[in-house]
Amino acid sequence: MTGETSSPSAEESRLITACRQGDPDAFADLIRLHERRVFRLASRFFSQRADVEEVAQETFLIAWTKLHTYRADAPFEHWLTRVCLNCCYARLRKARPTEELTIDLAESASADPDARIEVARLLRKLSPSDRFVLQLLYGEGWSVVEIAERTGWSRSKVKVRAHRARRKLRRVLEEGPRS
Amino acid sequence: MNCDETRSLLLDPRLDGATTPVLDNHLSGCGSCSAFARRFGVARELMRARQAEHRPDAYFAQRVSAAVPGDTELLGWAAARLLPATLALLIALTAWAWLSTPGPSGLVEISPTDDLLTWAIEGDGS
Ligand SMILES: [Zn+2]
Repeated sequence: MTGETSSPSAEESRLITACRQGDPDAFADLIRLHERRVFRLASRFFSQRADVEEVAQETFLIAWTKLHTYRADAPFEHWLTRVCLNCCYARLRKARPTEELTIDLAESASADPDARIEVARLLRKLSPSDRFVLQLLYGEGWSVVEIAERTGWSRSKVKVRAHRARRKLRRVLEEGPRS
Repeated sequence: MNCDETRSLLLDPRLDGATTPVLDNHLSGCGSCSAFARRFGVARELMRARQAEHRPDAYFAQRVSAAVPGDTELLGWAAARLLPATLALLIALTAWAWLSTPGPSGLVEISPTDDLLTWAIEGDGS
C-alpha cells in the first residue's frame, strides 16, 4: 500500500471532499479505489478471509469517521495504510491463538519441512504484538523509520517494541524445540 | 566475535541475511550459533512467505458504505440516544423543583415578610 508519494489525484480529492460532506456514494467509490490494497495488506497478517474482511471493513469505517484528520499534503493511501496497520495490530492483540498471525508453511520452499514446522511452532510462542513488529521488520523488510511512518507510532516506540520483539525472538530461537 | 555478538548481529534487520567473514568464522566453529542461525533463517523465510491474498468481492464497497451513518441518520441516532436522557433529566428537575418548593405552611414559617414590614415601618433601629 505504500510506495506512491504523490498527493491525491483530482478524482480522489473530489471523493474525499464529498465523503467529508457525508456522501456515502462517494465513500463507496473511494473504497473501490483502495479496497484491493487494504485486503492485500491485511492478508499479510491474517490467513482467514473473515479476519481480512473484518479488518478491511473496520479500516474503512474508521477512515470514514476520522477523515477530517487526513491532511491532503500526503498520499491518501499512506494515511489509509496507517489506519489499516493499526486495525491489524489491534485485532492481533485481542486475537485468540488460532486467529493470530498465521504462517503459511506451504509457501516457504527452501527450508526443509521439519525445520519449518519446528520454527513455526517456536514463533507461535511470541505474543501477537511481538510478531506484528517482527513481521514488519523481517517480513516486510521495513526499517524503524518506515515502520514509524506507516503505523503513526513514534520512532522511539518502534525502537522499544522492535528491541523487545527481537530479544524475545532470540530467546525462543535459542531455547529451540526443547522449550 | 563471541556468541552474544554473533546472535545480535544475525538478528539485525539491516544485515538482511547477508554474512560477513567474521560472522562466518564464528558460525563455522560454533555449533550452537550455527543452529541458531539456521532457525533464524527459517523464521525469516516464514515471515517473508506470501500468504494467499484475499480479495474483496464485488459488493464489499457497497456493503461498507451502506453501513456508515449519514448526517440525517447520525442526527436521528443522536436524538434517539439523547431523548431518554433528556426526558429523565426533565422528570428529575421537575421532581426536584416540586419537592423543594415549600408548601403554604412552609412559606409562612420562612417568610421574611413580617420582618421586612417591621424593618420598613420601624427602621432597623440605627
Ligand atoms: Zn557462538
